[in-house]
Amino acid sequence: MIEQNSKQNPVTQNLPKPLKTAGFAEFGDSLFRVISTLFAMSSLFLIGWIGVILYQQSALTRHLFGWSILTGRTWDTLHHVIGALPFIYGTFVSSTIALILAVPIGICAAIFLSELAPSWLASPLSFLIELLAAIPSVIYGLWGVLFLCPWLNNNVYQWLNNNFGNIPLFSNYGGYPSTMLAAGIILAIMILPFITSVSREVIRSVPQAQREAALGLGATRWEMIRNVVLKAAKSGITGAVILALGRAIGETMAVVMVIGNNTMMSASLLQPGYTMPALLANEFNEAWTSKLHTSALLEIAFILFVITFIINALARILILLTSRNSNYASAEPGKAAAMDTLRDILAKFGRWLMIVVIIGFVAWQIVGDLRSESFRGLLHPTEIIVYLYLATRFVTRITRGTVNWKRWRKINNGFVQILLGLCTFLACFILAILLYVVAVQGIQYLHPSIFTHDELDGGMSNGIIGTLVLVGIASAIGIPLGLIGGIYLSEYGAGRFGNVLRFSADVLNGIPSVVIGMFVYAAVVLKTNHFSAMAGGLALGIMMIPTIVRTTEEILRLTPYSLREGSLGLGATKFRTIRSIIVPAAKGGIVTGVMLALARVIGETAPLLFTAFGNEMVTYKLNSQISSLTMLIYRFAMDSDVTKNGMAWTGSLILITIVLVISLLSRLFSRSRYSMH
Amino acid sequence: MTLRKLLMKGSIIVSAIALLVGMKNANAQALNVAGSTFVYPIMNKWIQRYHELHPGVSINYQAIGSGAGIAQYKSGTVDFGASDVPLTNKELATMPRPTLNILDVSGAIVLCYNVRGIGPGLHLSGPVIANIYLGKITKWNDPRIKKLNPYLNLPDEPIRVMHRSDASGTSYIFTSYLASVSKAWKDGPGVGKSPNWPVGIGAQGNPGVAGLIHHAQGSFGYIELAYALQNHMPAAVVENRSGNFIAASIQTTAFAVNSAVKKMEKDIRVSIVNGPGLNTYPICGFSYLIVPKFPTNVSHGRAMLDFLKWTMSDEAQRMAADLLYAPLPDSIRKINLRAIDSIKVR
Repeated sequence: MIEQNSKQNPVTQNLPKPLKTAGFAEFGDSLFRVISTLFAMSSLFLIGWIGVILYQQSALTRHLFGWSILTGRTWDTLHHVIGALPFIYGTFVSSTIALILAVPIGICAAIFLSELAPSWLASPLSFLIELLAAIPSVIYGLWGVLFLCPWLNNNVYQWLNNNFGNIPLFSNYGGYPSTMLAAGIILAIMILPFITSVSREVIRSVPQAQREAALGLGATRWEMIRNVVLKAAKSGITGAVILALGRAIGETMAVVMVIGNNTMMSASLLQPGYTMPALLANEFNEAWTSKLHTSALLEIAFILFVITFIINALARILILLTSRNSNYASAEPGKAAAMDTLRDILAKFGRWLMIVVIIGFVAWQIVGDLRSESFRGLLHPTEIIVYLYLATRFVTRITRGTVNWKRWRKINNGFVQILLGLCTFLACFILAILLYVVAVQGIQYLHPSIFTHDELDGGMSNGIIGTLVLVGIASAIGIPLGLIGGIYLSEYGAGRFGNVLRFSADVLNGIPSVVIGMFVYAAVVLKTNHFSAMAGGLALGIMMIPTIVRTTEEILRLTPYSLREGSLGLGATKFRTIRSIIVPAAKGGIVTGVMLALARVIGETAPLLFTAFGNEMVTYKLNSQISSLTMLIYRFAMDSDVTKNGMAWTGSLILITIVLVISLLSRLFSRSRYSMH
Repeated sequence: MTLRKLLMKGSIIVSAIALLVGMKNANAQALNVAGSTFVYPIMNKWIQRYHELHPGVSINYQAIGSGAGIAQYKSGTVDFGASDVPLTNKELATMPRPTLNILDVSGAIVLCYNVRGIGPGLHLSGPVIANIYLGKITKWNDPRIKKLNPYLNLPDEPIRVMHRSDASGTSYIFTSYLASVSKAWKDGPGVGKSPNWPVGIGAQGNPGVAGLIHHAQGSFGYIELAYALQNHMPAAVVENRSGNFIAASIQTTAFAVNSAVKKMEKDIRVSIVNGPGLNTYPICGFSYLIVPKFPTNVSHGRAMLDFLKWTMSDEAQRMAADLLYAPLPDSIRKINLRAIDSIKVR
């Protein structure tokens, strides 16, 4: 990036003054290291604690049912039958759909915004996308029920069923608007801002020299992006995807509203399903009076915890196996060779598996079409996609090595750029619709009295002030822990211990917010015997940590190593290097991470119900119960009064505005010291 | 850059001062109440009015669900609770302090649908509703529905059954109705806030179910009376125990309440689903308050006592009727006041 190169020039002017004694400097360094290690360990400590509590509290269910919980298909707490399979299945399927839809679109949008779009377009668009992480999940859910599901039901489901119905995934359309597919789509929309924002920052951090080198060697723009930029940004993008997956797995309110909550376990995506967090959200409030029911739900939370653990472990192994610049390469050639072989085998196996599955599905569909409509069946969308694919393969094959090869590459380049633009347009379009709906619905009840009156007098001031107080407490806890933890991981966390901490941050990120709320309830509320703003803020703060840790780390790792070497070479200590050189250079990306974390927790309801509890009047006291906008939004949305339902939208409009203001202010304050302006 | 630093420092100082001022300005301690979502609308109105009458007392009601309300009451984090299901004698015995059930409000549940060409007033009977929810009647033109509606042109479409996915008192009342009219339901899914539904899809809250019914052709689901009326949803007319087809309203719910007064003299914990009487609407239920007999906090206890008494006043009951909860008859109010008077605040 051109700006970044120019950023590095005035570095010398800002270098720290030499310290007086080396002993003091060393002491400062080791002190920072110790403190940052402790901060970084907070995730590990938290998941350990949460894991132990969940394991202990769910012992009754395991004692009664043992492993059969995992295979049981019936969930009937009235008759003491506990089976978790439909929920596990639903969680897997809905998050998989979400990833399949959101990852390509999100990454394409990120590439477009960072590589192709002019800055007057890219900045506002990325700002818009970041803003959308702040829409409360209950509003995503409402939008899903009222707008998305009916639209899908009228326009999409039948079409999918008609044209791809021979594939089991799209067979057996039941006419219900709430389906597994709807849940997957809602989740995809929710995680899109995460993937796009973090990937964009990561891609922007790839040194400009690498791009120039690739272009100088004659690569087209797309080839440069594919072979250079994406390769360099791979680890960071994977981190973003894992963060997004964590959110998709743990999401409750939005999914609960659109998935249909049925334990049928159909192969078809056009049928309703059920997920583990949805079950927790549905039944936790009323389960308290039955020991078995409570323990069964905590067992579900525990299974979810273990699954998040396993998924993160698998993702980590996958990264290790696919990354080309393996650490072993130089140190242990034998081991490196062994790893390479293993990697090749696995990569080949994965690729073949994918090809076989896709060909299987396509063949299934084509055979079905042929049987139902004979040769006219060959004009259906599936077949047309196959023709197009074969045609491009054919052209690639005949032009390779001929004079037309370059022309073909250029066509490819143009085509891909259009595709990237379309993806960005699609992402922004969906998000703009959402914003539009919130604005139009919300403005109806927007009135000054909303800000000046509390809930009892028909306003929302108790929620607005509550949200600010809660987010303030959460930031005071989450931002230092997250930032310093992230710094530790990027600067000191290269070894196995660093990996453990990284891993625990990812697991913590995937724990559903309901469970974090329960944890704080058990750890704080029950101990102090009253609900408080502190407890609510703590729950939100815990949720902020992993997002900030992981984004900070990914961004810091991408700051050029020469910066560190330059500073250290001039005699600065490691702490000063980090404080004065590395962190300022990565400020923009760090702020994005903090804003995403803030946006995520500002829209949370579930963890506050049993910690902050809610208050119908305005309060600033940190040790009394307090309300939040999201709690009001949730209650109003579920109220049987139509005016209240409308005010829920107004609440989310206010919430988005708050995030907008915080975001603008933080950008104003954090503009890099080395920026050209 | 200096301006920015100045701004930053300024905002930090301002927010610190705001926080300090705020801490000093905190309001007097309020009563905390938690529980049922079913009574939230009327509770909210009552608390608001009561606060106008007695500015010194503020009550904070949080609708976190009946079960959670009972649990919070048990652990002592709230002054009293609200539950759609009264505490049984066994549960009362496990409470850390002597506890009373006090009847609160009653409400009705209606069956709504979205069928092409069919307006309000579809006739349904208990067994037919149970069979739809058991998955035994699957089409709108099933002979058993046709028999009840000989003049309607019912389409040959599947019935898309909807139910609440969140555990709720509404589901509890509805399933106790189903169990009272169908042995198959009683022996099968049973009565509960989140039973194992044999068919259909679940949606969150009344708005969720209403939204689905509005958008899906051929849908059928149960909703609280107030919500259905506000949203002008067509509701079924249901056959009661006397064989009459009754539409849900405050009056027909009040008949159900009145029919149970005799039994309630002995114990207010009665079920009024499928009650006797010519014009009784069959799907109704009560909501209860779970209150301590000997409140430990004297000032909170006094405030609670006064508030409870006030809810039995004519004004409070009229407010309930405005929100389509059936007002409690005098005889039941007397029973309640007797119970409230037995609360002793030292």
